Amino acid sequence: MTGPSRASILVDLDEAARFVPPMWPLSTFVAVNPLWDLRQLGFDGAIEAAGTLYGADLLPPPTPTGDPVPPGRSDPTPDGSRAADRASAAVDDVLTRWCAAFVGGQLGGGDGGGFYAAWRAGIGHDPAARRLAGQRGRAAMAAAPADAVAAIAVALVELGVGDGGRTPAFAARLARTPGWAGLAKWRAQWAPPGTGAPRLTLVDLMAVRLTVEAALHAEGFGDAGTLPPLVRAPGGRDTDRELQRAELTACEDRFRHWLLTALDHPSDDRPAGPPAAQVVFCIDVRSEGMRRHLEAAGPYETLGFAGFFGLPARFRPLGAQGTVDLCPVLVRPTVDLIEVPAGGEEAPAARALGALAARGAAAAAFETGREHPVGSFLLAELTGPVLGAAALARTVAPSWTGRLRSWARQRFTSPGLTEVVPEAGDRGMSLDEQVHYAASALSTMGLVRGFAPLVVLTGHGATSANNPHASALDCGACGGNRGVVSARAAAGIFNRDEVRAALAAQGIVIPPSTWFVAGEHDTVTDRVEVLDRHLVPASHLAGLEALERAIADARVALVAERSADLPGAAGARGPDGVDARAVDWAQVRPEWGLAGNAAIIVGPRRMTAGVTLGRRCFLHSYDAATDPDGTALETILTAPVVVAHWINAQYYFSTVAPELFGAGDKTVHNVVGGIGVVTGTGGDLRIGLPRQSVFDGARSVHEPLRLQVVVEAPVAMVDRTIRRNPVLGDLFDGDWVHLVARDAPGSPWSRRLPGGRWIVWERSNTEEVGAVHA
Amino acid sequence: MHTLADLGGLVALAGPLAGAAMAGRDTRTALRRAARGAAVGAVGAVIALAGVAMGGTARSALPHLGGTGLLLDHFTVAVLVLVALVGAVVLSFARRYLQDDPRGAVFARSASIVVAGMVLVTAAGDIVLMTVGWVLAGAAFVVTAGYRTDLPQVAGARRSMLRSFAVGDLALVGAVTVIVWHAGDVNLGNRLAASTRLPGHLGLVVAALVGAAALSRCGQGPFRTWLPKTVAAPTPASALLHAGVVNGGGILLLRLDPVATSSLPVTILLFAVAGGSAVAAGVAAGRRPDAKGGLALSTMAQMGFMLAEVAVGAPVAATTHLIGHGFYKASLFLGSGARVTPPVAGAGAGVRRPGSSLPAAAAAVIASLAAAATSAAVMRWAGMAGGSLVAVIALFVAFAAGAAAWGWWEHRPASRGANALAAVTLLAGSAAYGAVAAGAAAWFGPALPAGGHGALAPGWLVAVAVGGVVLSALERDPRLSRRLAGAGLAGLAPSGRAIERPPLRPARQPSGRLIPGLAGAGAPAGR
Amino acid sequence: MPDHPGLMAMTKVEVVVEGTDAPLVEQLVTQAGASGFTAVSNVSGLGHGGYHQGRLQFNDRNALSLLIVVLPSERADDLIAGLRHLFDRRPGVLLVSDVWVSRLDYFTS
Repeated sequence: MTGPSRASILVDLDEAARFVPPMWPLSTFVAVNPLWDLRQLGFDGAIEAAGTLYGADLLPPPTPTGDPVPPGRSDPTPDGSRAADRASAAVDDVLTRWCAAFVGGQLGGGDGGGFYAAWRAGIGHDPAARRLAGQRGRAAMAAAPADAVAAIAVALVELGVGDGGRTPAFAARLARTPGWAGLAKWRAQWAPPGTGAPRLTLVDLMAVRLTVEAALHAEGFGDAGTLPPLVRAPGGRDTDRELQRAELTACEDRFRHWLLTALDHPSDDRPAGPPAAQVVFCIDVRSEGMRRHLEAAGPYETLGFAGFFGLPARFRPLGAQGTVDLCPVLVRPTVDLIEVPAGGEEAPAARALGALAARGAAAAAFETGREHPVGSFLLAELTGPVLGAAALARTVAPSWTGRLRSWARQRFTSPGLTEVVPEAGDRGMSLDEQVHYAASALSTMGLVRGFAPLVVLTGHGATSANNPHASALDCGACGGNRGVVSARAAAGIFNRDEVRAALAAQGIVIPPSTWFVAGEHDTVTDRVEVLDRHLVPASHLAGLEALERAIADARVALVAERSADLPGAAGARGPDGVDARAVDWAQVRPEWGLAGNAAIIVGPRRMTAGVTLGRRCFLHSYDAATDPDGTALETILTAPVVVAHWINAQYYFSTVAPELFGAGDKTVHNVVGGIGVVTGTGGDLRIGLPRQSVFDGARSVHEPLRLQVVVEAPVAMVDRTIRRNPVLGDLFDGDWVHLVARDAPGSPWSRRLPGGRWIVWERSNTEEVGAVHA
Repeated sequence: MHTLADLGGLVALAGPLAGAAMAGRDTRTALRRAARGAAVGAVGAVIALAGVAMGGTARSALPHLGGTGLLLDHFTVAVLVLVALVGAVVLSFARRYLQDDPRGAVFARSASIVVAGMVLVTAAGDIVLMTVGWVLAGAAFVVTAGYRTDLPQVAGARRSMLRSFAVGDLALVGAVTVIVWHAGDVNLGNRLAASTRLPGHLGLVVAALVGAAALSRCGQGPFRTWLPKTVAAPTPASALLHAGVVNGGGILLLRLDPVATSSLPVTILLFAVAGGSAVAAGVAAGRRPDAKGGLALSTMAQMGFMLAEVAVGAPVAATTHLIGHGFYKASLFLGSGARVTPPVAGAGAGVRRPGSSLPAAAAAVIASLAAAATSAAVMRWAGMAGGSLVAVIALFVAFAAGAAAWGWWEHRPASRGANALAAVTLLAGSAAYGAVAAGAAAWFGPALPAGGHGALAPGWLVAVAVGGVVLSALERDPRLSRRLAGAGLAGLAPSGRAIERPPLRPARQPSGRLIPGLAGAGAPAGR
Repeated sequence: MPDHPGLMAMTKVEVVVEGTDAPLVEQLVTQAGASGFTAVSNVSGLGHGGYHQGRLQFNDRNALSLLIVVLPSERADDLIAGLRHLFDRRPGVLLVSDVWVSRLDYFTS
């Protein structure tokens, strides 16, 4: 074909898509730095570039943190007075409606599948398109080329966009619907191969958009060649930005001062003797509170490790048809895990599966009846009173209803005793692979000697009801799922005699008296449930029960601490107490999640033991003494630290730009196609976290600042690791995160400046110590 | 004379009003007080129900209001319980759900007034008080759905609502004026028929005005634009609307029944519009990709069906539909956040079995026949009058049972016991429904006249069923389905923002500011 | 230019890119009409930007990838133009060479 090379168009589109945050489907919400693909520009450069394109202010407002965000500061005010705006808004409308219909499955497969093909087949009948572009314009849209790339090329010619202007033109258009564009980008760049429908692609999206614009242009409507951004930059003068940058830096300096000062005073009352149990939690900030209270409640030692326990797995639940990936999105799963009934428990499992199948069939029957145009009438009458009674019960007595549902679940659909094991065959784990996994996991944590009789691997998850963003509260290291499965599989591997024998040969001796147990921490109710009890030998049961009692004590203290911040939860036993929040379908804020996160501390627990960090820090266990060649450090810096940065950036951008990179008000969310939410009747898919996750009314609970990385390891080794990994160079040299390190306890802290220079961190007497937790 | 029912009725009215009055400005306090007020009102309504069940119809008089008051007969007290319970559930839900809303106090107050207005519409003793309640509920609801001025789509929704409600309210006020002028302030209830025999042409005008008011409140036909747009408001507002406010149209027709269906041409028109809605919106509801949009269109269809039932002279069936649907829709709207597809189809997801759908169709046919026969038998055995009505009800039971059976069969579990249990449940459910229908006829019958002179026969409802079947069959044709997709996307369903035709002159060139970081970004090429 | 009787002349394109760009290159290659390609991930090497090491334990995306595709010369031009356009702004290596293949049907679609 003449004109621009097809491949060049695709390259320019990909380049323009760097401004768009990838958006995962809601069931596996992944917190991501929205400007991750602009990281090479550095923090300042990326903020500038994205701020210009989106017309938004991406720095925290120039008022002291804690005050309300002035309205209009960074929120979009769609300006309807300009003609070009109306044209682009109209095109947005056509595009978003068709995207929603495609993703919702209403358009069928189209001719040969794909969004562009389905749109092209149906646009000729769209009354709204005719109102917009006239009969001729609509016919022109339907007559566009069948190939999406060709359609883009043709439309670009019509709009008069030359080779040099392609990328800005694409970027300006993608920026008008970052939600749908983000979903398409996820599909192209992040989704595992074999992900099912719907296949919304960037090429199709752009083809549809440009074809509509070209048709409008041909009919003489509006200048759509260059588009104004969707949101306005509300009078952001450069002097303001300097002030905002200075305030952000000052805020981060204050936090760093507070943190490093606190770390200089770790508590000395560690248990004198060996611990009765070691409990390994996820690095998640919410674990910090539980670890602190648990260590105060008894002779227990806690460690931090990424919540997937180093096992990148694809998991098939009992009786399920599909699989789910339980690992950070940076990694592809390498192991297949499956849940099977424990020995002799096949009958209860089969019964439970039968009950589940019956429940599924009943739900399908209800849905089919509900969707049938004629059958729905009497179905509403028949089921109305039952549903109404359930709604009444759930609303006025959520705890009681929740208990009833748990009882029913236990009684009928609980599969009895099961185990999580690697699959048989070559997709599972050979003995060598299991040994390799066990050795690397233990070395990365620094737990290679001094094992307690009980080692509890505790994953985490969050229970909430009627919450489209429920997955945002689950474990990010498990790809937005609950961490219990990884814990169970890992514990199983560590308990195998053959694995222990091989580990001993490598120098990691796990005594026979040590037993690994799996648990799950529900971060809404702060209950820790121990799983697979049937696998625990009788000799360890007493110790396990003592631990559970200690956890219960710790829970009381932790719930009291958390309830002080949760609106309505302090001293409440009704629907506002933490237990009810997990089952209350009206509760719009089951917990604060990772709001307030500010730092990640990589080092042994003695660094932070007893220090009240206010649930603001990720904690990853690391012992430089067990890591002479720096492999564990590199593993930690290139994965958990990146994930922590993503979470921190997600919260940052959802706080400073809640309508652009945040999902806005949750109460008007409308689930589309089961994979995303729009606001109200339609429009762009919403990305990021809802307001209720970071704001309490008008007050921002999350303090927007960049992640502070604190490492206890030889500074030279840290420096070498950063130099060897371009992604770390992007992060640290680009000023996306801050880094301080010290060789050993008692050494002075060294701060790494962007560019690689290390300076000694001085504690200045004039810096005030800021509040711990808003 | 103050009986238990009187007391309950007054509390049902006073509770929400007190909640609105004491709400205050602070969001969380206001929501809490409004929830308490509505809860008190709901308790009052239940007490009134008990009172009426034990003591029969009660007519209370509100002091200082010149003898006007509430009428609590079997019909009004049952609908009163629906309205009050929905109000209580929605406001209790909103207490947690809207805790962050900067203007949540506005919602608390206006939602309480909506409930109070609907109490009046449902239970007012005379026609003027009912009209007051009607207008009050409509106005308060415009505030309830329109108070979030910070949201982009709400302004358009509010405008749409105001237009439709204004027309409907004017129509109702006009009709009531004519009635009052002709017969004075008429007490509602069985005596309405006797005292309001209007001369021919006047009767037609009044029936048309009342019909227009009902259609506007139910979002039917020419008034269909505002209902889907209300999805822009927070979830509790939508739940209150679809379970509490749209009912108003049906309640109006039922309470003014002999007058409302006195004129045959008007009834035929009403049936055509409502029935058409029931069919078209029912099919369009399945074409909405978003959860709330589908629910909104479903309400439009269900209200159409209910109004059609009134038009064919089946007021008892309309009442049971009104009450059942109210609870159904409130529950579905409040729970609409749970419609996220899980990452893996678990064991309980009910995976569809592959293969031809012929066995499913056979199962559906068998189930529908069995269910229809069972429910009809129970209805006849319980002494329900009206053979054609029983047959029509049985027909719709057949469709519901058939659709459910189809869904079950395609996802059926392996266990024979479970399938047998499902079949038994289906039959038991149909029998139970038959009993409920017969019981409703016995309970509501005396309170509801059988229908005016202009009412059609129940058999006409079959047209709705036929229409639905034909339209969904036509939809399978790809070309027609694309046409419907286009219409379903834009015709019945609202767009994200108003589409205006841009002007013909070229717009001003925006400044060609470079976007840093984009390689190859020269001055943007344009005209 | 050497000639190999019985074999067909085609163009081989080899690309070394950052792992995050591999999906884009795969898309370009597929769009150009190649019937298949070979992708090797987690490669290490020494380049202008310094040494790039291979496999990271928990990060599959930030290592380098190597893609190899063979396609008819007439289809290769568009692809090469696109890849050159890509490497105007992204780091990577593009190698183009002539090859002769025996199973023609493997390389044409």
